Amino acid sequence: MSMTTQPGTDPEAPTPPGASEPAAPGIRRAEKWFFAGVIITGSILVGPLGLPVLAYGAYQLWKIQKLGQEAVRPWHVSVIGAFAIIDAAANFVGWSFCTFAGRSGVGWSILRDGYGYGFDGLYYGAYGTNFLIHGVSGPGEQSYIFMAMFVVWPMRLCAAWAFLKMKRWGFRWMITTTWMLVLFWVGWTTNGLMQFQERFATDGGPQFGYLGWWMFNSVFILGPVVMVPYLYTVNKELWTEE
Amino acid sequence: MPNSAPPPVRTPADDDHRWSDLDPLVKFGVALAGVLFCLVVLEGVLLVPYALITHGWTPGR
Repeated sequence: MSMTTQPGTDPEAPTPPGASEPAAPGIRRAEKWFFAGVIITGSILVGPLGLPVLAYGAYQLWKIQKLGQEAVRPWHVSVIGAFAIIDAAANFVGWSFCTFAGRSGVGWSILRDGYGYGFDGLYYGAYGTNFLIHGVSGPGEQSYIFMAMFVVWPMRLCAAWAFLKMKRWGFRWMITTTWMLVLFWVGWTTNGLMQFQERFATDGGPQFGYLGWWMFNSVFILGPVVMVPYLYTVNKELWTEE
Repeated sequence: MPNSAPPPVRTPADDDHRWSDLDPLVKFGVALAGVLFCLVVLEGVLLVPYALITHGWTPGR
């Protein structure tokens, strides 16, 4: 695939965003608001509380740029990076609750009675049933959750953070973890459908049925569909810091 | 007199990243990421009232 040249490769062009140079006044503060907003938004159950914080940070960054200072990063990098973080964080938080706090108030009353009851019968009928590790007792399910919780999502969160900081290794890790996500979602959905009776039929029957399960989870499964065309088309020279 | 035109105005880096400047595949990724971002937030927060309402909680009670 040919790499499309985006603005920024011209040697006479302004310094690419992220290149090492003294930070403009206010950038550090604006970045703190932006990243705090992303983190709160990624907490899944109270996500909207992070939106005003995120918006304020983005607005401050935009204002600094309009005053003629160097941009911290192109706006499209902010959109992709913020999405990558909340996508990873939502799954990381959700599945961590399933495993370590399956019988806590949030786990039992919201994730089981919300996600399980509405969309996934296995997370309703078999929730919190594994000895010590809780989770869901369907064959293979907890092994996928462990893969996600201990490997894929932590790597993804680090990658997305460095990606937003315009570090080249963050960009490379975004590509690596994107393909890991493809592997993970193909495996998880296929493995999940092996327990069709428990998830969708009379045993567990979620309120929104088979289609509901796909619709709810497609928001996460489609993540790599965003990332593959973006990462292989955008000008990677924008990520300069090592 | 040659070269009498004023020097080009240097623009902030983000001005080179207007929507119309982006490659169609980058546009596709960014647009879909924006939609999915909203849906992740919406799905997450809606689980709370959904779980409460389907298990007996009524607003205002």
